[in-house]
This record gives sequence, structure tokens and C-alpha cells, in this order.
Amino acid sequence: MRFLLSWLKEFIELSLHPSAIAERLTMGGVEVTGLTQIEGDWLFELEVTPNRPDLLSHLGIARETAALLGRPFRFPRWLQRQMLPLEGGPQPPSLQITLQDPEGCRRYCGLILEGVTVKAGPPRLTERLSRLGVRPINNVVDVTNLCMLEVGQPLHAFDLDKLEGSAIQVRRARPGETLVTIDGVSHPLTPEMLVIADGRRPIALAGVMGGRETEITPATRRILLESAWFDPIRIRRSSRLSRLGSESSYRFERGVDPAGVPAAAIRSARWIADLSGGNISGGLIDVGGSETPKVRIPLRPQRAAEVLGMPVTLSQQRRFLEQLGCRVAGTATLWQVEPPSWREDLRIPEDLYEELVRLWGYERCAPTLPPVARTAVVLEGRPPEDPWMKRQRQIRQWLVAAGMQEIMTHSLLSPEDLARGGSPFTKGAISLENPLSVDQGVLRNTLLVGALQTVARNLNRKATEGFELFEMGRIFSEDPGRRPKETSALALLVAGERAPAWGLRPAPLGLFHLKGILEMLLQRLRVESVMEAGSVSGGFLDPGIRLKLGKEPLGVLGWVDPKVLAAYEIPPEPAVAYAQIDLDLIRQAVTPPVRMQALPKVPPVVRDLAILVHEAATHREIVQAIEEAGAPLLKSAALFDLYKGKQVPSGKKSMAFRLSYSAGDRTLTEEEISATHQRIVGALQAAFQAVLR
Amino acid sequence: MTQPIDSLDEELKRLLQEATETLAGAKEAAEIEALRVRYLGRKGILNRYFPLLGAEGRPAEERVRLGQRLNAFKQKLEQEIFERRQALKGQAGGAPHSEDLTLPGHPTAVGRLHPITRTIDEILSIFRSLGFSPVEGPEGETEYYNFDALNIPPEHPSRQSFDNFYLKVPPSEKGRWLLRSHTSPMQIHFMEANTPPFQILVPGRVFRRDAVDASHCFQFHQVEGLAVGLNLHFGDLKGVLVAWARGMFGPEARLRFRPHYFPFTEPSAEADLACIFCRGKGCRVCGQKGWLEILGCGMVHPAVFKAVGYPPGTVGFAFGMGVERIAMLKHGIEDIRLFFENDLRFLQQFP
Repeated sequence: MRFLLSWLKEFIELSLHPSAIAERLTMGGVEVTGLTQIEGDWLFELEVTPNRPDLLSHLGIARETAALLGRPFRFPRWLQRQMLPLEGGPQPPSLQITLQDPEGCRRYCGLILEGVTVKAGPPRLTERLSRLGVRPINNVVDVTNLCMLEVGQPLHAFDLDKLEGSAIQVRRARPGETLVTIDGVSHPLTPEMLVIADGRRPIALAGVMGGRETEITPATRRILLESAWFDPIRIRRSSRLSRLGSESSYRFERGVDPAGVPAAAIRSARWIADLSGGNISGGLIDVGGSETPKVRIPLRPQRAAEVLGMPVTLSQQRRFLEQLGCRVAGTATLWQVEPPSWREDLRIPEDLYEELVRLWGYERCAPTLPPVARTAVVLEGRPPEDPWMKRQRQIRQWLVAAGMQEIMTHSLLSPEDLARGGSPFTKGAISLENPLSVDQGVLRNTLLVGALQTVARNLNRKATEGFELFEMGRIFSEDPGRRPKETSALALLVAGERAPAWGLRPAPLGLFHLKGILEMLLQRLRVESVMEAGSVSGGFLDPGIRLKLGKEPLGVLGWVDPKVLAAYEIPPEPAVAYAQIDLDLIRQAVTPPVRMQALPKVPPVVRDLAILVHEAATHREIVQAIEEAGAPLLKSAALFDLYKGKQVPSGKKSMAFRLSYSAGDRTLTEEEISATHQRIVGALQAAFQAVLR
Repeated sequence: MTQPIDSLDEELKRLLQEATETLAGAKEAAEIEALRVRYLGRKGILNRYFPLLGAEGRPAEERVRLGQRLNAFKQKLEQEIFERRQALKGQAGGAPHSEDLTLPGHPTAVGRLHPITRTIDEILSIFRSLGFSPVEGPEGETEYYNFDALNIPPEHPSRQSFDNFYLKVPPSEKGRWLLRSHTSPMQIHFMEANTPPFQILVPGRVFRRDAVDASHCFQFHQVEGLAVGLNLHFGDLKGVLVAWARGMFGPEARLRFRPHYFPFTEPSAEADLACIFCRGKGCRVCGQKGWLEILGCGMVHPAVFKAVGYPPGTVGFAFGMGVERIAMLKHGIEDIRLFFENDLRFLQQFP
């Protein structure tokens, strides 16, 4: 909304500097977003919130400015005179107007002008329009626009001679009807839309735009002037369905002053007659104008002061309300407040609270702190922090401590990007009804795509040679017949090598680096998960490991298939290791507090064991055998070396374990340790034909 | 017959001297190592003496003395060997422990949190100290929770300003599925399941149908706050937010509150932070205004309480802020796209 200071001054006396007016308006909730000086005048640009359609006119701004400056507003005499009922009193209507959709159009006023001469409007007025961003058309249309900017009521003028029949209907459009609007576009109409129709066809999309066939032209002699109240919802629907918006629909869909409809018709008719040499023919045709029921809002002024936390007296409160045009009646403790007709946003006491604090000044309301211990969360026996929120913070910290960099990728992907990874990604992915562009057409159902795109981008920019990345985020998939499935997931990705540094051996960032991090994480989360080696369905990881928590699939871990890497424009080197787990499953797992275990009083005895076994024997099988044979004295068996190659016969591998023996409180004898150690060796020889090195 | 203790002493002294002299002449690490093995190795000279400790007929005090001598021999020789080695190293290129101390330390492999996570954590921790507890809600929502229950009826003009992404899935009884356009739906979920008083925070990702440019992205993050309880008033809302702003931007931070409109609060306000770059004088960042729009807030609208079945007269306040905007202001980041591009050179700038 724009307004001119010179025009505003026709309504109220103002001596303040424009920037002071702007400051007051902004701090009163009418944000001034622009203030420019043009040729002795000042143009204000406002951001008017959708609840305040009454501010979409100079009259409205004038009322608001007066209230914010703490002054009563007096309706200007000169304007009042222009709105006086027409001379000669009521006359029989020369045109039949019927409201077939009384909900869509509550009130419709028409006035007929004859003998008009359509020409350019006077420069003083066209200039005003131009400054306010409205294109001058001709003296008739210009007046309808000026009047809208003056009092906020949108108006429309029809060329009466182009109308067929002597009846006007305000009704829903019929299927199959079309209308060419004044911008020359043909619109198919639907029964959702409200139209103005003559005896034969729609002549305007009500409240949105008029039709081309009945528009005012230089040849127009007789005019039907329309001033109406249309239902905001209906106009919004018409506007949305026809993809057509105007200054008029903008006001109607927010709500115009129902009481101002006839006055605006009369005001504009007089103005047009004045400028075009025509005369008003007959009286005001006013249909549906039943009195709207009076609104009374019960207000307890004492309560208002409490909820706002401000020491405002009752007489101050009353004055504020009256400055806004409200009438205040009722008892001393319970008021009945009748808001003015143009403030349809005032309906409940809380609406009045805002008006009171607005006029009092948000700034004058002293900041205080509420009592902190009111968190019900504690009263109800729940911890003050959602344990899962805390857990997620810990997971992030553990991963960061393990060298991982957190990333955040897009939740929306292009279907093409998703499909590049193969069928496991496209399966069950949810598409958007109304994507903004194809690049964001589908919801991610994996975190892999974002992670791979991050790798590709950083490789392209030569930002790094090693990747240690993680992301925690939601993924989505279809769950036919049920609500869309939303899962919290954790993705881990490593690739390449850390930057070389003197004195350190290069640390390859591969699958076992990643597995170590995952094992650390699961151990700290204290969930009993199982890892199963094998290929992962769909084959985007090869080889891969499946993780399970109980019977539920917890996630996957593996090398990303080079074909998938290639699909995301990542070279086969460095190889990329990836893991993704379902955090919702972990969230459900119960973790009791840690119980400390007594420290052993005697240090453990450590023995190393190096064996040669067939290279097909797995670490898991061998450790299982060692643990079984070593019980109960063996406390741990940790692999510290694995070797194939020179000095090891082909088909074999050398494995070295560090075995730790302990019996808790007592010192182990050499005999006990030797016996256990021998048992282990024997078991390995029997099961794996192991040879001691 | 046991060897007299005095002659053993002499013998050890001689041996040590002999070893020290040989050591002094050693020119190579290998020579030193050979010497170490000869004297101190498992089958070395010194180990031959230890059995003497247990020899019959030697008085206890002599055994102790011999033990001390043997240990002293060992320590002394080890020390000599260490020094000789250091000396050799020194000749080769410096004194013992005389590495180049200007060499860089070995890099420590610790990762980093995303700046958005860090900013959310910082916001939450300040509000936590003010008695607020964080909770989380879903990113996929229904129209009821995103709009209707928050007093944004269909066809309401304010619904226009939330241009949403709708999901291609069958609607639920609570309306069509969409990606939440704000974190406020969690207000409804939480109130449906809890009774006041409480003070909660909802951090999370939200979505708007905005074209991507330097200051817009179709996804961003918000932190929402909701306090419901007896006798809360507008001054409490201001106090909590002022306290937060000082925690977030320093004790000098100033907020101003302007009336605004949100369907789910009444009265509503927008809070501006006195520009942290020009201290309110007006600069490029604040568009010469001196103030930065930073959050929206207000007293919860009675229609919202009605939607969750709270009794009339319930009072509370709510606020919501954009995390990216705060992070951008705080760190001087000029392009929102950087947050989701994950260029490691960007991410690694944050501790």
C-alpha cells in the first residue's frame, strides 16, 4: 500500500516530519518500508498485514495515524458532503438487480450516469494516480480508482449501453461460461466463481476484474457504477482459480467496510458527474443492504492490564478504544465494546488487548521474566530435556570426536538425481504435488545421494583429499495405506586419505575406518546390534554388511558400488565407504544407567598368539573359537596384526592376537595360564588347522 | 665355596669400567647395541651374576648388598648407553631432544558440527537456562496441524503467504499432507498430549515454496518457543526474548517490539535487533534502518487453545525465529546456499 502525504493531509492536520510519522506508524504496527520525496510531496510505502484491510486507503491511514498520535479523528466535512444521500430522495430503480448468491455478495449498490463524456482525467488527479502506481485510463475509470484509494471501496463502471436486457444478476458462473476480461484474456469460468451478469452473459468476474465487452470507452455515454460487498473467501477463490489478481480483489479478499458501500457509490458518482459533464439518473439502487448485526465484545479492563503486564488506567483504556472508533458501554468492570464497521478484525477480547498495547506502545511494556521452575515437564515426572534430544546431541559429539564433519543436504532432490543411484532409491520415494522446479521434485528416501553429491562437489573444487562426513536428517518413503513414513537417519561416509603430515603414516579412510566409528557409536549407545556380512539388496553397496537390532533392520555398511559412484560423477578412486542407520530404532532401545564394574585388583596377564590359518577362515569364527576355549580366564582377544604375502604360504594368512587373562581378585599361576593358552591353541589347530608361528 | 663379596664388588666395578670405555669408543648405533646385548642381554654378562644371589652360605646382608650392586650396575650402564646414543645422534644432527621445535604439531583428527547445528545448540542452551525444554516434531504434516488448528482457515489471506509443498500421497482425515512451513504445528501436537504449565522449544527444518537465491532457500530451520501457564503476560514474553538476545548477541544487544499480525497470536509482535554491525546507526546489512528483523512472537490466540481443548482463559506466549538468518548475521555469511552446499572449505571455518 502506498500513500501520499499531501493526500493524507486532506484528512488530518499533520505538522510532524514525514520520518517521524513513518516511525510512529512502524512502531504502531503499520510498517513503513519506503519513504521517498517527490516534487514537494512524500510517498510512503507500507506493509499492511492481512488483518487490516481498513488501512488500504488514505481515509484508513488517516484514522490510524490520528489514533497512533493520540488524537481523535474527525471525518472531514468536505468528504461528508460528497457522501450525503442524493437529492430528491429514493426513486424507482431503472434497473433490476438481483443477488442470487447472498453469501457471496451481501450488498450491491448501483448508480446510473447519463450524458457523460469520456476523456482523459485532469492532470492533478492523473498525476496523483501515477505517483501511487496506478495507470490513468480515463476520467471515469480514474475516479473509480481514486475513490478506492481514498476510502478503500473498490468500484467498477460498466458501459450501460453494452449491457443486454435491463437486469443485473450477481450469481455463480455456470459451467461452460467464459469471460474476456479487460486485459484481453479469455477465462473459462466455473461455478466456484462469482460473476456479474446481464440478461445474457457474465460481464465481470465479481470483485476481480471487469469484462472487455462492457468496459468504458471514449464512446461510452451511459454508465452503470457498481459498489458492492463481496465475500472475501469467494473472491479469493475466484482470483486463485482464474489466476487473476487486482487492486480490487486484493481489498475484497481481505474485507471492505460493509457500511461504506453506498457512500462510496454516491461519492464516486458525484465525482464522475463533475468531471465528465454527465448527470446522475434516478436514485441509488441498493440491494441486500440489511443491517449487519452489531458486534459487542466483552472486555474486562482489569484483565487486559494483567495479560499485557502494563499499568494502564481504565480511563486511558477507554480513550484508546474511542480513538479507534470503538463505542464503549457496560459496567465499570465489564465493558461492552462495539468496534467500528471497518474493523472486522476486532471480534474477541484478545483483539482489543492488542489495540490497547499498540496504542500504549509495545516499547513501554516492561520486560519481566516468568518463574523458571514452571516446566511441567518436571511436574509430570519427565526429565526437563527430552532424552532423545540429548542423545542426538551426544551422537553428534561422539562422531565429531572421531574426526567426522557434519553436513546438511537438501531434503528435496530431483527425481533424476535419485534415480541415478538405481532402483533402491526410487522405490517408495514420495513426489511433490507442486514442486517449484524439477530439481526439487521428490523427497529424499536416503541420505546417500546428498552425501555423494557433497563428495563430488568437493572433489571438483579440489577442497579436500579425504572425506569423513556424517549427516543426521529425516528421510521419507511411501507406506501404502498409511501415513507417509518419516524416519530419522544417520549417514556416515569416508573416502580418500587424511592430508599427509610429517611423522605420521597416511591413514586410509576406508570401510574398516568407518566400521570402527560405527562400532564405537553402537557400543556407546549400548544397543545390542548384529552385523551380517553379505551383499545389500539392490546392490548399491558391494560388498556390504547388514546391521540388525533384534529382528529389525538397523542399517547397512559397505563400499559404495563403483557404478553408483560413476552415476554421481565420482571417480572410482578414492573408493567410498558408506553406512546408514535408522535412528528411530535406536531411540526406542532402552538404555538403563551405566552400572560400574569393580576394577580388577590384580593386573591381567597378557600373552600374544600368532597363527597361520587358511585365508578363508573368518575373524569372527576364529575369535569365537578362542573365546570358547579360553573361558573363563580369557578376558579379551584382540587382533593386532593380519598379514598375507612374503613368509606366509600362499592360501594362508597370519593373524596375531593379544590375549588377556585374568581371574579377578587373585594372581593367576603360570600353570593355569599355560593350560588355558594350550587349550586355545589346541582348539584352533582342530578347527582351522592353525599352525603356531 | 662362595666368592667373597668384596672381590665380587671389585669384579663388577672393573666390568663397568671396561663397558664404559668400550662404549666411549663406539662410533655406530650397532656397536652400542652389541655392547648392550653383551652386558645386559638375556644371556648377557650381568645375568650370570644373578644366580649368585641365591647361593647357599651367603649371609642375608651380603645378598642384599650384591643385589644393590647388580641393580646399580644395570642402571648405570643403561644410563651410559642412553647418553652415548644421544651423543651419537647429536653428532649426526643435534643435541638430545634437539628436534626442530618449529615443526608443526601432528594434526588432530577432530570433526566439526555444521554451523546450523551449532547455532541451534546455542539458541537452545540459552532458552534452556530460562526453563525451556526442547522437543522435536515431524517434517511431514497435515493441513490441520500446519494451518487449521493454528487459526489459519482455508482461503484465509494469510494462508497465501505460506506457499507450501504438498505431497503426492492420499490425504488423511486431517487433510492433505505437506512439508511443514513452520515449526508451529508442534505446538498443537505437544498441547494435545500435555497440560500446562510448560515451556517448550521446537527446533527443526521447515519448507517454503521459495525460489533459491542468496537469501532464500526452499528449506531452512526454525526454533519455536511456547510457554503456557498461569499469569503469563506480554511483559514475560518480552523479558524472555530480551534475555535470549543478550545471551546470543552479547550484553549490549537491544530488541524492539513492533505490533504485527500472525493468525496464531494476539497480540502479535515482530522483534527487531538493533543492528549488531552499526549499533543502530544504519548500514548496508540493516538496509540503513538500524534494525534487523529477527523473530516473530505474541500471546497465543484463544482459537489455538480452543483447538487443543484447553479451557477458556488459558494464557501463553509463543515465538519463532529463523536459524539461518541468525547464523548469517552472527558470522557475516551472505549467501544462504552455502549452508546446504557443504563445501568443506566453508564448513571447516566453524570450530
